[in-house]
Amino acid sequence: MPKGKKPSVEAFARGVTAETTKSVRAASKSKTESRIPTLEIAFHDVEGARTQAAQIKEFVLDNISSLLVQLEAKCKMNGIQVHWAKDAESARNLIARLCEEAAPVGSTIVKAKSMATEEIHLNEHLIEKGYEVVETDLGEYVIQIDHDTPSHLVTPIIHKNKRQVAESFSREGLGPYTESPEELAAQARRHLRDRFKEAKIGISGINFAIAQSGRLVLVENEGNNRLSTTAPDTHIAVMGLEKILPSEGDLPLFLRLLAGSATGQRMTVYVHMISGPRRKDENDGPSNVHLVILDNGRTKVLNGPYREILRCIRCGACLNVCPVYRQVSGHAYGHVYSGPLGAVLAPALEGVEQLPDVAKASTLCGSCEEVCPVKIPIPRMLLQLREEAVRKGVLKEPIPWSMFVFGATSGLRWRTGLKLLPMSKMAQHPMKNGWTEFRDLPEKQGRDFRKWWNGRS
Amino acid sequence: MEDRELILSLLPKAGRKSRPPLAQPPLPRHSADELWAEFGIRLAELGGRIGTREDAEVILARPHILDHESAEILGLHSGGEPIWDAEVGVTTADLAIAETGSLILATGPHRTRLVSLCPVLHLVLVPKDRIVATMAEAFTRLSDRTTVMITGPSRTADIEGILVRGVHGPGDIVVVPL
Repeated sequence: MPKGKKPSVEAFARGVTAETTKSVRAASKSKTESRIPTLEIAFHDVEGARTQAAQIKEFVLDNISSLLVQLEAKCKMNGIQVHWAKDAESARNLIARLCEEAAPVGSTIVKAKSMATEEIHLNEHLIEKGYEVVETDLGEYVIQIDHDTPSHLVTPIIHKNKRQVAESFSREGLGPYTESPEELAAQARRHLRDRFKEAKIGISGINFAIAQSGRLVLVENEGNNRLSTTAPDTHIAVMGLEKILPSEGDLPLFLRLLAGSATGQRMTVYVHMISGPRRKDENDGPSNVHLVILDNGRTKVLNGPYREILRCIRCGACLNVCPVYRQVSGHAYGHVYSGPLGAVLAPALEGVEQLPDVAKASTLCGSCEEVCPVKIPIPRMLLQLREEAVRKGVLKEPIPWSMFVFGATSGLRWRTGLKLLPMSKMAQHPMKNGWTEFRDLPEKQGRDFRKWWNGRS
Repeated sequence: MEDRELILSLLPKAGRKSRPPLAQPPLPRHSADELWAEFGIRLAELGGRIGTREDAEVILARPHILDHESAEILGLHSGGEPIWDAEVGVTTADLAIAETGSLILATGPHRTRLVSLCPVLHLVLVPKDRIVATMAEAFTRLSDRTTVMITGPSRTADIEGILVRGVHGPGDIVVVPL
C-alpha cells in the first residue's frame, strides 16, 4: 500500500483487481467453512464456550490495572525484564535501545509475525538504525520482499496468489522459478535458516500473557516463531496491554477457540509457553527475555465506548466472514487492523478524525458478531463510530437519504415532489451520486404512472 | 519508569468482580490403551504417525541428534550431529494428549529446545503411562519451565490456502509409545 494520503474505502475498493478479490474470497470461504465443524468437536456447547471466553475477557478489562501489576511482578520473578511504552514512538525508541544493548548495529534481527510491531512500524525504525530485520513467517517474508503490507491478521498474503509469490521468490534469487507452494516453502526454509543461525535478536508478539504465572504464550503453525524466540541470545516480545489472561487454566478454552476460529484447526501446531530466559542447566534458549507492554491508545479505548473491542484475540474470523472484507481485501481499510475488527479498533485507537470512513465499510449484516469467539458487539460499535464521526463533522451524513425520508414520510410532500421531479434532469435520487460518477443518468421516458393510475377506467 | 506510571494512572481503577469460574467438564475415564488409540487417530489426521521401537531404529540410521533422556531409554549414546545439520531430532515427551494428538515438552536439565524444531523429522519417545485424555488435564500438570505443546508437523497455508508441511519445523513427526 503506498504511503501518503489514504483513499476512502470506496475509492480503494474500485481499484481492487478481480484477481485479488478471487484470492481473498477463496481463502476466506474455506476458513469460514471449517470453523464451525472444528469448534463443535472441541466444545459440546460452542455458544457456552464463547460466552465464557467473553466473560473472562471482560473480567480482564475490569481488572486490567491489578492484572498488569501482577503480570509484571511474576515476569520479573521469572527473569523476564518488563518495560512499558505509552505510544508507538516510545516503544520504537525503547526497543531500539534494547537492541543496541544486545547486539551491535548491523546485526541480524529475526522477526516472528506480530501485529503489535506492525502497529508501531517497528521494522522501518530498526532498519533505519542499521539493523538487518528479517520477517520469518512465510507470508510476512513475502510481504517484506515485496514492500507490501499484510492484508489479514492471520494470513498476511491472502491477497496474493502462487504466481505472484513465485515471481517474487525468483526475483530475489531464492531458487529456480516454481509455482508449487511446497517448493516455494522449501526455498523459504533454506533461505531463512541462515538468518536464524546468525541472528542475535528475535522479536515477536505474544498471544496471551498469564498474570498468575508470568508466562508468555505464543501460538503458530510454521515453527519460525519458536526459532525466532529460541535461537537468538535475546528475545524481545511486544504485547498490547489487553492481551492478559488471569491463569493458565484459562488456556485450553482460549487456545481451542483461537485455533478453531482462525483457521479451523483443532489446535495450532506450536504453543510456546515462555517462562523466562534459559536456566543454567538448560542447553539453549535466549539469555535475555524482554517484555514490552504497549499502550498506544489502549487506555483511551478502555475508558471509552469501544472498550469491548479490546476483548479481541486476533483470530480473524470476522474478516473471513465479512462480505465487505471478502470483496475489497484488507488494504482498503488503510490500517494494519482491517475487516470488521479493524473498522472498530483502528478508529478507536487513533480517533475517528484520523479514520472517519472505515466504520462505513460494513453492511451491518451481523456475521462478525455471530462468529466472534469473545462475542464483541461489532455492528453496534460500528454504528456508534458513524454517529461519532458525523457529530464531529468528519463524516458527512448521507444528505440525499434524509431528504428522501423527508419527502417520503408525508403524502403531500411526496406528491408535490413527484410533480416537480421531472422538471429537473438531476432527479434527487439518493443513490444518484454513486451511480452517475461512472454513468449518465437516463432521460425520463414514458408516461407518468400516477396520471395513468388515476385516469384508468 | 515514566511510561509505566503514566499508563497505570490512565487505566480504569480495579474492579471488585470475582473472576468467572471455568466450566470443568468431568474428566473421562479411559484406559491408557484407549487413549493411545485416540491419540493415534488425531496424529494421523495431522500428517504424523505412531511408530514402533523397530521404526525408531530404522529412522536412527539417518544423521540424527539424540537428547539425554531418549538416549537412556534406547540404551544409546546421546548427541550426534550438530543441531543445524541433523536430519532427525529425537526427544522424549513429558505428556501426550489424546483429544488433540498433542505432545508436551518442557525444557529441563541438559535438554535442548532446538532438537524438536530444527531437523526435518521429529522422533518422539513417550513412556506409555504419560498420556492424558484432555488438554485441560495436561495444563494442570505443566512444568514451571518454558514449555512447548506440539500438535502435528510444522505447516503453513499462507500460499492460496494450500497446506504445506515442514516449513520451518519438522514436516514429519513419528511418536513411539514405549
